[in-house]
Amino acid sequence: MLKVKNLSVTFQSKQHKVSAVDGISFEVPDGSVVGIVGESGSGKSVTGYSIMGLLGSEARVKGRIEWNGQDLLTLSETQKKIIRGREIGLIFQNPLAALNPVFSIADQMVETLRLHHSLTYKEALDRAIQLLQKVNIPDAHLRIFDYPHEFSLGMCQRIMIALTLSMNPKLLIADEPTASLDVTVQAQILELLRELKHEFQMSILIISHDLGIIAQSCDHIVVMYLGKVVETGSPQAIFHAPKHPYTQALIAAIPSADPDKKNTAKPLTGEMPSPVNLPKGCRFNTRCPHVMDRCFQENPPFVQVEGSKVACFLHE
Amino acid sequence: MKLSVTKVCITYLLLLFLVSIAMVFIPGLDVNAFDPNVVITGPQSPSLTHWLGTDDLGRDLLLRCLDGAKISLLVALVSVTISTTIGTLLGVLAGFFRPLDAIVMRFVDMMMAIPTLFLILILQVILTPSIWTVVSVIGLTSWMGTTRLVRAEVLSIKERVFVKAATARGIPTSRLLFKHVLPHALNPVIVSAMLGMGSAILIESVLSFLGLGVQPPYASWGNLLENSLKYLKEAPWMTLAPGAFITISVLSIHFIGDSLRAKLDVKDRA
Amino acid sequence: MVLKRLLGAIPLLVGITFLSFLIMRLAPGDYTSMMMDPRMTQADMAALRENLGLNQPIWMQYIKWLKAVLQGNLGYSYVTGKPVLGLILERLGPTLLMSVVSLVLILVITFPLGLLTGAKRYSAFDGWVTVLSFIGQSLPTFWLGMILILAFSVKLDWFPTSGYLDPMAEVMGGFASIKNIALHMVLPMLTIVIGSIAGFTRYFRFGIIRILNEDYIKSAKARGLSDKRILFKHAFKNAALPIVTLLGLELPGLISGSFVIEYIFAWPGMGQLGIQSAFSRDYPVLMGLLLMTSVLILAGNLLADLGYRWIDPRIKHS
Repeated sequence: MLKVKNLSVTFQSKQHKVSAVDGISFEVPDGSVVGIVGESGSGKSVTGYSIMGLLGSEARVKGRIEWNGQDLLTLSETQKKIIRGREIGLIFQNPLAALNPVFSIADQMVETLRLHHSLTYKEALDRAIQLLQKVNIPDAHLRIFDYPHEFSLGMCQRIMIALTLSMNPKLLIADEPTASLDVTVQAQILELLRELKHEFQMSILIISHDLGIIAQSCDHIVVMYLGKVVETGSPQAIFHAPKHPYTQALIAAIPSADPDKKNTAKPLTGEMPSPVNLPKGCRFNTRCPHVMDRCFQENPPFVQVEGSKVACFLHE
Repeated sequence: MKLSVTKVCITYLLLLFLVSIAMVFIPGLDVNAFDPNVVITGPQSPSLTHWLGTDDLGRDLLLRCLDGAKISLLVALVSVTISTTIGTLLGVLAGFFRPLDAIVMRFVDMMMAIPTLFLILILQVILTPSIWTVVSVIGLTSWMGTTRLVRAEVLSIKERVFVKAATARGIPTSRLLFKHVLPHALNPVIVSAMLGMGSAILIESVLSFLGLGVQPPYASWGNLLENSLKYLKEAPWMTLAPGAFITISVLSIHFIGDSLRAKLDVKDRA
Repeated sequence: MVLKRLLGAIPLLVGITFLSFLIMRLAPGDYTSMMMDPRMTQADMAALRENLGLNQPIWMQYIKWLKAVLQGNLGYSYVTGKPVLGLILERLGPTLLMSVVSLVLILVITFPLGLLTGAKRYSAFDGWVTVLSFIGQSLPTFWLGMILILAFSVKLDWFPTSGYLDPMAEVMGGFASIKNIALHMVLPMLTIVIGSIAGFTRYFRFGIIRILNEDYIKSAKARGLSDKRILFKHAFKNAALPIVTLLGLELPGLISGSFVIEYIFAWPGMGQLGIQSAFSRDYPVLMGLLLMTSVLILAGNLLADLGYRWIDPRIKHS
């Protein structure tokens, strides 16, 4: 069970201080699939990396990240290493780049397996082949000795998944898992994740800018904008009755295949402000079609509206 | 005023250069005045009258080093100007005009396969060594790096939207080149020119050390060292002083170049 | 693929040789006399002169000269009358010895140094290494050589001032000879190595920084692998690949750049030959050396390129 409470991440460089994430909270209950959706710059990837403790030294992380009751942020580096992989796994956006090009798949998988379980080389190799078969790599017993660039991107992502699963994590964080893949392959990977979730009894946290795949796969959705959570809810609630103007704009922006359905939503004006120069008050005030005076003064608190939580003065 | 390494270096170089030139105008100061006593007894070690000692002809070493500064620095400056000009020109041509690219780059590859220092040596042997030959030869053999750099910059700038936009507005090629593309391409060139100055000083010193560079009566740090080799045992200061000047000056140039690079990098990314 | 590379090198070869040819003609004197064996008869000389023909168009002269070169005639020394090719080959040994051992030493020192400074960026260690690198790059190499002689030979008497092999050790032969040569090699090698450390360390440091930012390193970290393992296994192999390229690129450079060091240390290699020829205006030898070193550099570049393609799995398997 992952509980993120009031997480803030700022990056300190010599010239500026950038606030990437500002006081966000959400939960990933056991066995569920939660999706964080937002544009680039929303801080969603930073959130994922901060859970794993993979942000560089320029990052200042505040708040609590509770995993099974323990605050991950207070752990030492050694303790974090134990959590990484064994309890929480991470798969990356570009699967080919995430595999070391000079080592064979066998090398990389066996290494990870033997690191986390005490196995002989042969035992680890067999287990690795099994895992590759589970993610539907054909001829796994032969192809395991190949190098990453000899596989397609879709297969690389499967290999990545197998690699991560080899440690039996309880939570899998997927950072833009399908961004580099074709649409057809995307569907396969999502299906694969669903199957594996049951089999391995994991929860999954999907981070994506693609509302479509979030909707397909998740039990619960968290919408982020400019470092803050603006709305959370079930897929039905988010899709059929979006409450926050930003969420509404996102939904409306999904191209519809129905030629008769007219796009009645107003397009968003303005550009997303830079994280170095954040607007005062509600961060969406530069683009919101329903903006009021109040929005420039205070930050809206969360309100419960019909099963969703929204941070918007429209719903007070 | 904040004291930074870069500022110290710039001050040092400027001061050195100005003092060296000013020395020419001081009446009655003859750096090359022999001291007949010393010719007989041998070079004098550093003392209160001669802070860095004297050379074998009794000339004050500190004064000689300061005197040589202007030549060494000027040679570096002029040759780098030559090589940078050639390099930028060729780089822009190669980057901007497709058909010229292959020819120019092949030429660059060819020149880079020839050992530069050795080539310079041979050219100096063929020509009669003098300051002018040194400057020309270094200038004519050190442009290749700049060409590659400029070409790469031009190629990438060409692809940037604002250039395409300008082309779409019908702006003529030459104007495009000078006003739009060139200013952006020059950033890495400035840094590379600084480093080029450093290496030009080193090359000149090697040439002069071998007697194939700056000839007496002109003094340069390199030819001061040529003289010092035979006195290495008995008068080590003759070797230490000019070499130290070279090292410190080149080091200063490197520091300045490095901080320039850091500043320009930030500007570029902004 | 390999063939394409070789073919691509030919125009470069032509260019280099043509340039050398032009420079040769710039040299004072009749260039045809450079190509003549002083033991030839007058009649033969006239025939050769006719063949190489100054009255023919330049490109024709170039081709004839090239033909002679390819047959092994690199000219005859003005000073000793001996064939240039022979002279160069005689001296190749000591230069090669110095260059290869220096390069190996450089790599052994700078690879770990680069790796560590890249992994511990901005640490105190990195700072010191950077400062020393800057100084190393600013030193005139020949001056460094003189200082080393001053310190270790003149003052401390640990090593001989110059030369290659003392006559007594040569006579004793065997291990004594080798040890003697080694003693003579220390200072010049140290000069070369110290001067080159900066550049190589920078190169490896750059490489490792780039590698450590790659996704696969982040992925390894995400799997709980220790920093040490990540550096010495995952990053290491990727960082080591370019060494092959470096060998091909730097070795010819060391060989052709050796002349100043060999001059100061009286090391009987190609470089010393070059300096001596420069002082005595022995153009045939100079030209021969220029040609040979240029071709060596070209060959080195080619081998480096091919070598890299051979060991990088990405390219090998595609």
